[in-house]
Amino acid sequence: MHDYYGHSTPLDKTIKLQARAEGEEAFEKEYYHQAIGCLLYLAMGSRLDIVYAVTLLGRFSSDPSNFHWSAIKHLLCYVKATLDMKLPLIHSLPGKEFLVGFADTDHAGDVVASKSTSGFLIYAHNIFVLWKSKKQHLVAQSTMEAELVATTEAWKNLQWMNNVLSELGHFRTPCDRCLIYNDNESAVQMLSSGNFSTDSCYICLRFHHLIDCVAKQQLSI
Amino acid sequence: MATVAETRINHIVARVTAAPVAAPESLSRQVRDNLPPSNRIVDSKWVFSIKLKVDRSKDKYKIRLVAHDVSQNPEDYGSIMSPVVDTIAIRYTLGHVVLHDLEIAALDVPTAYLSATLHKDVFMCLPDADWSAFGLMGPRLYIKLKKSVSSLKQSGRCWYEDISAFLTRQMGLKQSISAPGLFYSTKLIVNLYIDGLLLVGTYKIVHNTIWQMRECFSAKDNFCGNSFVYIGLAIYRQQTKRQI
Repeated sequence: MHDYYGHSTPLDKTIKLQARAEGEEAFEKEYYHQAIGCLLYLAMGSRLDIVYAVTLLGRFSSDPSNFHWSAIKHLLCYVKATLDMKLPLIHSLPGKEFLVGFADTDHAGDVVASKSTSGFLIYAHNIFVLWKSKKQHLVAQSTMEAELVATTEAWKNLQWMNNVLSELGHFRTPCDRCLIYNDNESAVQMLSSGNFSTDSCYICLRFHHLIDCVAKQQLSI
Repeated sequence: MATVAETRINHIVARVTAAPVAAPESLSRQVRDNLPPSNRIVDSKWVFSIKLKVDRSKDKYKIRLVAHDVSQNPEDYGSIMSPVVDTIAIRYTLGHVVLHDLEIAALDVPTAYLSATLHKDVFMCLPDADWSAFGLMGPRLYIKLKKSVSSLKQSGRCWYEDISAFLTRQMGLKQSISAPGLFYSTKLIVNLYIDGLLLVGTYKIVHNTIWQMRECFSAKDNFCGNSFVYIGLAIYRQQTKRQI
């Protein structure tokens, strides 16, 4: 690895990772698992920029090919190039809310099963506390649906954080408002107005819960 | 070959009598005359390891008497779950320190599992060694444990019960319901990760607590200057720049 130049992205944007094809040469599992393990530790500890890439590559650890290994090497080069990057614990965010979440997805980013991956970050009192990237367990049929799933995930964690912080007494009032930023306009529209169009009425229970919380002003989007 | 093994064992026994097993409570383990049913006897053995520092250099040699928990009878342990604090809470606490410019300290309780009180009868078979220094003679020795030893099924749980009772009753802290490893009062937050504690609060209260912990658990203070180690995380602090 000494001679490698760094890469500026964790994953190569131009390639889509797929499961190992029939006849394609398999890569040694042990090495692959070791690399994934090390990278996961890094991702959980302080490098949220590689969380998505690591979890994506981790999905192939049951049957890795040389192709996946080259993606890992790409990721390692990225880590090498950004070794001196640090994660600031405290940001000053606009707005007065104590709990702020950011949610986003790649719609149908997984080529194998067309599932999306949701990711979110959470700030409490401007302290950066939590990040997560998770493959969704349903096939989202629109970007809006995928975003809604991600927002629900973020909201669940926000509620937990809310409980902890109100126990610690770090809230001025027990039910301060939470805020989730989302970049999907139709999702934001739907949640803040509470209106369904006929196309989106299939969306299930937990999104109604989200809408309910917005209506009760526990949460703003 | 035999001589090598023998010298090693002699060497170890000499060290053991001097150091790790001789934590004050562990000496008061009772000798049992009449033998318990054989399915209730737990095997044990010596485990040797080298403890490393953060920079991977050698810190110290460790030797422990560990129980073989697989041979434990389910009747002899009840609940074995012991909650710990998660990284989210630790990260929040660190941020809280920086925001409010509080005092922070990490405490480590040495031989925590050895000092935990057992609530059930556990019989353990001692490994082959010369135990005559403790007044024990015979080929195969069984003891009834008063205090827990490493890697019994319930030792984690017993330790957790001890320390949480100390924190809630004696220190008057409240345990968080949604994050069970977190103990708090208005002026102090304690993160509990097995035998490592991270204390956060005003200078006076933190040092008061450290002093009390030293009394009760002979706790070790890992705080030296502005850098310290907490559950394997090296934390460096620059108070003037408000950085951790």
